Amino acid sequence: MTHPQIEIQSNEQSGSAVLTVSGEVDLATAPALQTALLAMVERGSDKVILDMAEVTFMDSSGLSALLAARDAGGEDFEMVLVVGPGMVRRLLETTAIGSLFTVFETLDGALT
Amino acid sequence: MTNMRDPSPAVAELLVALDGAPSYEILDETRRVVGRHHRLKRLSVYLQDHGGQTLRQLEGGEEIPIEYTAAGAAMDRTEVVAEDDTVWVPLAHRAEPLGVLELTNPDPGLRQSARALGLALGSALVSSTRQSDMVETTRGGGRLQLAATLQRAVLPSPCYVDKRLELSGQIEPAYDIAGDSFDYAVDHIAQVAVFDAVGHGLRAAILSALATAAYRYSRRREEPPEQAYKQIDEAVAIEGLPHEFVTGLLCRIDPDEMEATVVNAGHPPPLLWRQGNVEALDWVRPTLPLGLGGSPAEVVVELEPGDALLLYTDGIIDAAPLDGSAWGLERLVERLTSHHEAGSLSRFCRSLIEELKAYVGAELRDDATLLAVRVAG
Repeated sequence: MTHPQIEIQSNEQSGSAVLTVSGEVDLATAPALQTALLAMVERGSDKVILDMAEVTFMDSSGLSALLAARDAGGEDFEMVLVVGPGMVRRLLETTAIGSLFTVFETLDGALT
Repeated sequence: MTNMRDPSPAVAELLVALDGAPSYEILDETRRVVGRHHRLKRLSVYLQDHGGQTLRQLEGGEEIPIEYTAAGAAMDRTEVVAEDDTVWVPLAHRAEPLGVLELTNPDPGLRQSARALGLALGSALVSSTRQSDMVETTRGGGRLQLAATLQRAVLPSPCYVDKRLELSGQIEPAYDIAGDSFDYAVDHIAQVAVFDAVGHGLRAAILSALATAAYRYSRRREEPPEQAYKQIDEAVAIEGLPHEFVTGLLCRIDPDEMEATVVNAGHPPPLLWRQGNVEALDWVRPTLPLGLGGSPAEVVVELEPGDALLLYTDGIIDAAPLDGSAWGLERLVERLTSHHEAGSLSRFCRSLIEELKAYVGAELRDDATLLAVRVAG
């Protein structure tokens, strides 16, 4: 079996809260992503940019984590996804779950 | 070797005898009835293991590999195969391969009736699974984990063939079951669906079983795919945990009108396999997965004689060896376009899955499911 790795860093760029994730988001690592996202919601952020451009693998467990943060944030909370050109983007399109978020291909796009 | 018009009286007698026999006497009863009408040295039954690689003897400890053996060929091709003094007879029930019957030194009359004998015995063995664990235990059901046991419990037969339609469904489960499922019912209209529940393990198996049951509930009320989406969506939303969902494709196929009506619930679109060419039906746009309250839209796909629709889960295209690249949609499409041999859809689907497993070379990380439906050419 594989031992998927995930790295999550939060910082602020151009006045926006940015959560940068890299590695693999699956059943084993999605809870860490969800915890990090919920922590930002609890901190009272009204907008989070989730940068997943460096995520190499994501499955439906990752999507569940995104949905959980979106619901926890409520109507005044905006979650912006940066997805890169690869698998995360394809997953969000195939499942139509991307339609529930604001999605950009690059972080620069999300920051402007 | 096969004479279906005038089978041995042993076959008629066996049909009656097996209907009244307890499952644990099916084998003895068969030996007794056949032995009363024919001369033969030995009669044994082998059932296909759940792993798909081995035939396991019923009431005996012998094992025969399926690949490269006469016994395996008889089961795979649903054909009587003679090998030296042994005749291998497929045990199947309405196209579902179950195993093989071994007849050693059968007399000519028994050789003639071998196929009919296999049908009588195959039908009794399949029926027994509704009342007894004998067949499941022999097939290795006792080694399955709880999630895999639930996943298998809701699956229909993996194959269906009639003069208008051929269907094959195969699930290769991940090491930690990932909640794939498929279901179908072929009546004048054929209804087929694949499901992929979020997560892994028992929770995922429960979700996909729930989706399957809600699908059947809707189907049996003769509701169209759009309505089926709403029934399943509601069931998953109410009974699932927050943020749980199931992706899927719901298809209604009319082999007379030659059209398929498809609803895509956040799932990879179907592939249309037509005269050796493959088109990914990307225009069968997804609405949200089941459980997330999407707005389903039915899309009509016009079919031509000989067309096949291939539904799959992302476990097929995302399957990858450790630190290697994924099998990919390109490879799946390439495999379909380069396939020219005749043979059953089910054999082809199984060979695709075997190829995928060999490519990954380890336990799969996600369930990999293929469901192919072909309308007659």
